[in-house]
Amino acid sequence: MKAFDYERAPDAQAAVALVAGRPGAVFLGGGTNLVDHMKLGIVSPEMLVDVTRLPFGAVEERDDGGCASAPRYGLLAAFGTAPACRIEVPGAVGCPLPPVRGNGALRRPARSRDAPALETSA
Amino acid sequence: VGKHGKGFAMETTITLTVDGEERAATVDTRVTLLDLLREHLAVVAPKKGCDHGLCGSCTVLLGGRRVTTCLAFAVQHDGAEIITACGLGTAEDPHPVQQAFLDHDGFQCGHCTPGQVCSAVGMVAELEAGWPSHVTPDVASAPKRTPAEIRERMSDNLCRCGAYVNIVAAIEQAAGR
Repeated sequence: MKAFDYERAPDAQAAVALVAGRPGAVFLGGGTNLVDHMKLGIVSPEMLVDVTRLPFGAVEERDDGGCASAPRYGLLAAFGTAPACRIEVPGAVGCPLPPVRGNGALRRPARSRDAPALETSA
Repeated sequence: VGKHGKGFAMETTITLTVDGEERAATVDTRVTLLDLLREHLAVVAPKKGCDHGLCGSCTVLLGGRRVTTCLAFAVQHDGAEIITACGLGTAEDPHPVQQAFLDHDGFQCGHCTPGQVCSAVGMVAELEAGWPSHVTPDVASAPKRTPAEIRERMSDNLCRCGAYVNIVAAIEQAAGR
């Protein structure tokens, strides 16, 4: 794995500024895709901006009916306990994000946006 | 600016609590929490299986939540409180989940067992907190402690000996208390 700098973002504004201010900087959340792909050499970010300690510990219903989310995959489990997210989010069938697995990853892991798919079968 | 020529500040000293004991180490930012525990602190209850977050054998409880330590960087967890399977109980006074694994032969070779036990403890807490899973029939009501729920929620902990049937029975016993 190539060397990288690590910064823990103190707030959301700083997190955005850190990533925007440096090419090769990426956000680090649950890491279940990013760290795996770093180990495989698929991605080599120069800087990780850790957003897991941003003070977003809950899921809240917004005025427009949507949900304000949390940065950590593990916290996405809270979606399952937020009534608005369970039932009222347009397009969601039942609970949109309940399937949090033991490692905090989603049940059907999303592929990293910038990385090629690793799976050879669907 | 680090010593590696590209400006990376790589060495970081972190302090964390492992099984009730305060530990410190100076590590490269690339060191995973699993490697910190095993290679730097000689805490070998969590096992390195796949090292890619697929097998669950490196699972510990981090702040009370189950986490696969191979996908966490140590530097992220300065100040963290970690409980491994070793910290859950002793031979004389095992954790209810550990006792249940003994009662039901929930293992064969034992390699995956520390991860299974930590994952089970975390899973029971998640179930009790009312978190639904992929197989919860009605996500608006509290999930029940069914074998299907246990199997789904433990699906990230692999056992190549195939002790799954007994692991599910053990967790049913432990969760029923």
